[in-house]
Amino acid sequence: MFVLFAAAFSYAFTFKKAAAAYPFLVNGVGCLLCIIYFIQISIKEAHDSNPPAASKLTKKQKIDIIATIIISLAYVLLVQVVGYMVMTFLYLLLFSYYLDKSHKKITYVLVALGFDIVLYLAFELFLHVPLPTGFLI
Amino acid sequence: MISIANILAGISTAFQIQNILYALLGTALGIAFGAMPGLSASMGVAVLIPLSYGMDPASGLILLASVYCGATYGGSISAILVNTPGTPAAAATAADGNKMALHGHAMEALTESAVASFWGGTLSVFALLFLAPPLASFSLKFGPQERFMLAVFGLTIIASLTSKNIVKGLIGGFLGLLIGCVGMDPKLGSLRYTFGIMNLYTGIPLVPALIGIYSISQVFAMIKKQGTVQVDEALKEVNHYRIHIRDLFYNVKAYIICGIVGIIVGIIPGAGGSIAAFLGYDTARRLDKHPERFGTGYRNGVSGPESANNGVTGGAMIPMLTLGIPGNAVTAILMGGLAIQGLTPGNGLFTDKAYIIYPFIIGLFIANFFMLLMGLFGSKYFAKVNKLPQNFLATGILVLTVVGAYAVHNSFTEIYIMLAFGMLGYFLRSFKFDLSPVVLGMILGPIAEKAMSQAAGTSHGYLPALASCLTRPICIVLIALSVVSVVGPIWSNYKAAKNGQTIVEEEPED
Repeated sequence: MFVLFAAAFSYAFTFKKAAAAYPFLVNGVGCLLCIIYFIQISIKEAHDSNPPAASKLTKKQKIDIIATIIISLAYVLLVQVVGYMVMTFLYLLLFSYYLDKSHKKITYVLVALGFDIVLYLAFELFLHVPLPTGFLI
Repeated sequence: MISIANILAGISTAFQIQNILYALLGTALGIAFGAMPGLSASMGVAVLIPLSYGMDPASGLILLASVYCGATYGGSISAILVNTPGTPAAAATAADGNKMALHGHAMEALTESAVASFWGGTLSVFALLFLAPPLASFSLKFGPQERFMLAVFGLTIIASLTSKNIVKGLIGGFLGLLIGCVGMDPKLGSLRYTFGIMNLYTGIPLVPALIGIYSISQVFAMIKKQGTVQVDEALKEVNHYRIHIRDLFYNVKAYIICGIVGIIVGIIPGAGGSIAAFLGYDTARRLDKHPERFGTGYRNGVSGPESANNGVTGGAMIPMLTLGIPGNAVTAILMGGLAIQGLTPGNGLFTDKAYIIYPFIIGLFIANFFMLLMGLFGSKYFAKVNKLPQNFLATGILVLTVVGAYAVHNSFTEIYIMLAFGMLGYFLRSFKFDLSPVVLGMILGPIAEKAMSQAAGTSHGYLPALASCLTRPICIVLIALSVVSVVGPIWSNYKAAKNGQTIVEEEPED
């Protein structure tokens, strides 16, 4: 966090003087708070003979999180190309199966299809809120 | 001048069967809009304005006002159940509401939310009915200095929200202020931190950012936790809760006082439901016998924000109806609804057009009543959302958030912003940072900077503008409240440490 505030502080030098005043203040105080927090943590750890163990992610959890990020990004990119309804069906079907394979396969298909239909009815037909389209719906 | 005859005539018109049905429909639609992240009260009202064209003026306005009322409450449903505020104003409710749900008390949280919203909304209807003209003139006294100090006061609530580690909370708050710097500066219009991305010229869009920081980070957390048993065990409590009459009076003091806070904030143009909700949370905390329980899944932590944010509904209409100054985005759109019906804000609304306005106001009360009924009797069904398998729930939330972020401005860039904030939110949660201070900073930072720029313009400099805050009575009150807001938690922690009590650092739920 300190790095973020420091980087934003230095970048603020590229702004016009009057426009930079507020970012300087925010980032300056932010850096100061990070230093205070660091000192606080250091003092606490020095006095604490039994520091709590940091919670660690298992390998599966790490893979799941990374997969979620990549698949979700791919979903959003493909929505623009293919279309929201089709990609949503595929995403719900495949990604929910990836996360948990314990249900019957027909359940995944029905949930994905049902969700798609409800979304279409609610947004497109009833509310007239346009859904993103690509070369398909 | 209050006319009892007009009020009685308004009651008679509002209780006609078609108006009752419109209030019911509007409330139900509003709850659906509010519960879905990305959709909002503004969108609900905007989408339904064309529907009101062909309707009787009073009926059309009742429908629109009911949507507003329902949506304001509806945001709390997703905030409580899946830690995904449906509307920015529900962000404060998530602090305790979601923790209650995780501990198996989802129905209590939803019940409390409905009851508190009803109290806040009803109080605001009474304020609108009886106090509109004098309260509207109060709103005119709010200049840039007052708006600046109100925003600063709102920011000091960070200290209360994160009293166990104020420094960490302030870091989050200043991160939010930094995010609020993105875009054009209010004085010169020069660009800051936009990196050439055109969609950032007007700043980080709030709704996609909020959806991302709460919803997407929540999805990551659900995926990380999925397959664990604790959630299922806790949910067994859900169906055991029975609603009692005493639920309607669970925390009356907080309902009334926080509702009044919401009304006052609603009257101030630009202040909005989010500020009211956090102020309501802080007010409820100060009123409570056990302030240390706030943030741990405490039912009273839901009362304050929900009463306050529904108090805004009537409050925001006061300057709109009397002075033509919308209190927030929704009332700005509602003014469009008024214009369509040929109505002009001002004293004439309450005299010549009393046959339209009074039914509209009474209709708001009917909508509040329906909101209470739907909230109380629907909570058992809303709470079942948490029983859905986590894999379907997580993917479903993600899909809804994508359409929610897209629907705001039909922009894919906002979907990417949402995902980026989702990762930021997950990163913050991983390092045990609370999200509420970040959100507060994002909302209040731009308001504070803009108000200070305006004050500096009229006072010929920032220092004179700051000095002028010390000569304005409303600013002095807000400064005093801000000092109490910061010093209070620090003093409580010091006393607790002196008495040998261990301050357990509250870790945000994963």
